[in-house]
Amino acid sequence: MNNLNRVLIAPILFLIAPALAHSDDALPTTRLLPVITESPSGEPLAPEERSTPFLAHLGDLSEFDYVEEEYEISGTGNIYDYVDNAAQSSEVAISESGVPYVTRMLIRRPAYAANFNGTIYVEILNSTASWDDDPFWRMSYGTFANAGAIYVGITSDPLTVDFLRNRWGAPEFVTRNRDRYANLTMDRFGQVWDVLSQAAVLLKDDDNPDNPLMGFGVERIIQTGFSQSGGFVKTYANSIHSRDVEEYGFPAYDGYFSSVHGFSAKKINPPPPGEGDDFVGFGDPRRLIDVAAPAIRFQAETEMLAIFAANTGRQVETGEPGGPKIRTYEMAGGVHVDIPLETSGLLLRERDLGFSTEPKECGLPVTPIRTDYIQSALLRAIETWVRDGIEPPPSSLIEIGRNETNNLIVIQDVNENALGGVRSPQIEVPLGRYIANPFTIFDPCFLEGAFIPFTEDRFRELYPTDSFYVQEVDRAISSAVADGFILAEDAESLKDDMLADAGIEDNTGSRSGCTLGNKGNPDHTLPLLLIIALLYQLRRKWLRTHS
Amino acid sequence: MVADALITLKRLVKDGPFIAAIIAGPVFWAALWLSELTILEWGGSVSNPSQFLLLVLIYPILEEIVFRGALQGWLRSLSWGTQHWGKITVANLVTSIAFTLAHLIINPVLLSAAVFIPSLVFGYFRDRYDRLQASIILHVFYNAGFIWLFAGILVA
Repeated sequence: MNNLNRVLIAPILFLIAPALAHSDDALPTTRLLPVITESPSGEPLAPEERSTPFLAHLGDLSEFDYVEEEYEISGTGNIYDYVDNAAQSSEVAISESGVPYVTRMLIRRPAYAANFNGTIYVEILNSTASWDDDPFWRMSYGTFANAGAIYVGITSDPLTVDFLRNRWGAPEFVTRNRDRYANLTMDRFGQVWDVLSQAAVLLKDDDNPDNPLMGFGVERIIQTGFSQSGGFVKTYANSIHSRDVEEYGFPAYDGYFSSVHGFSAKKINPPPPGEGDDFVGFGDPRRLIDVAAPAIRFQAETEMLAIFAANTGRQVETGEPGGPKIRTYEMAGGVHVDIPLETSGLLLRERDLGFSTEPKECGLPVTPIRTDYIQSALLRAIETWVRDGIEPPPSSLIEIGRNETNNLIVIQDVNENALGGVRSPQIEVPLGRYIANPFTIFDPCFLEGAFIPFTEDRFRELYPTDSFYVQEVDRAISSAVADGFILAEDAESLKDDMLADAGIEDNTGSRSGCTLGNKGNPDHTLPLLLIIALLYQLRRKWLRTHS
Repeated sequence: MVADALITLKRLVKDGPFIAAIIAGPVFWAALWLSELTILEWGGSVSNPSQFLLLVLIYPILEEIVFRGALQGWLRSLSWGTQHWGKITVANLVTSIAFTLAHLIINPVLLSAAVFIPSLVFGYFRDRYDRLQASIILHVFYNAGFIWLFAGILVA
């Protein structure tokens, strides 16, 4: 090679070297999976020919001017292992590269890019039941849609990939076209981290024709995980976030939201099912989030003790400069699965799996406490935190102590409801005792909680009149809205729920989110008053000068 | 205009009916609290100062200009406007009905009805002094006390 060639080749090598070094991190490709329910001539197809997404939205997204699309996403990625597992360090290194995967993304987005607010919430679809579940979407889709955010659910577990490819659509479930997911493949769980990284980076690549959201102008992506998936979020934040910044020059995810996840965190390269623990254990610092990005840990009271043991891994924001930006919220009375989540889950399982919609037999009434309202407000709060740097609201933790036999208990008030934590209006204006901690994991309703209503005498002792109850509800909701734990757009709906739970009709005409004495929405009348006042004053002045 | 306002103020502090109207405010609030039509939630409203000022200062002034100034002033110019029952003129009565109905647009029925009597009081002083200072002062005072005591957390 002569000197001139060396001079020419060197800069070329310099420019292409990064691409060569990160060839395993090349972005994935995507393919739209169409929804096919009719023949080309418009005739309805037989069930085994219908091709629809597993977990498609239950209702009609057009009410929000939203659409749903499903994409197959294909790429190759790395599998990682801990550099020093004995030291319980989060640092990871590549143990295997070039591992292929094909999975799917469910995208729920505004029909028009102009209505997109720049935020994507990626949900690591929950795999606890061996098939995908999308609790964040079902609990908070109104919140996403009202803000113009995009939701992306990603199938993130070999277990659920296997279900989609090999089991869904079979006669023992609901008959569907078995070809829809025939290409899916993910052999090992350790692949999930690069799947999530690459998907997010692709969604941010506005000029990439493989990006289903090309041209939308994605500005920020928040990673979310519910229950077991919340443990995946922790591991991603701790071990992968900094690698993303190093490899791509920017974070794939700008914020992290881990919900009702108890104490645990997923191992970076867990063994196959049945061959060992797939979550890091008690006392392991990797159960705590340590990431240079906003992160929210949200626990319902269900998670605090017993098998979920969230009390063993609590994180309190120290506010120290350079420290992790963590907010921990523990919802007093909150449950792992509230009634709306359970109900929508039954409907989904009936439609997509052919299961019965009969609710479980619970010994006591299921708690009416709604976890979704609080979670939705916090999802909006993390968006504001990421986008505007406005920190989420402060909160106390649920009070935990020990009883006379030295067992851990949640400290309760006179109504036997939890003290401390995020206070939903439902627990501030209680109708009885809300039991959120599982009695035992063998209780069929240990995730749904239980409810023991007040006697009539006790109810009237607290609320002498129905109108007083309504007023208390208004006050509690207004307070929660002002504190940032209930969205103003949810105030009326929550009030309706609380009144329905009490069997009371609201005849006061009061508006929730406002208090008696507030002029409701004064902005509507202010301009009119200003104009009339101005005209009157001008007329007086004119009369004075011309009289 | 400022001198005129000061003269009015000097008269007001010596005016028996005006002092009685000022005292009536706390009496009314106590009655409201005892009736359990609303609950005591004092002080919280100032956590939203702009909203507090809007409701305590801006709205009272504008409402007095519009209702007691423009409407009641025009009604007084009509032949029947100054006819009266006791201390209440027809102009005042009609204006107070309009004031109450206007509150119904954005307020609960009970609260709207509760503004009728104070409105008559404001209108009385507008007639008594042929100026708005007294009614503005009373309106600001009544709103400030009510909202500070009962309105709790104001939400935009």
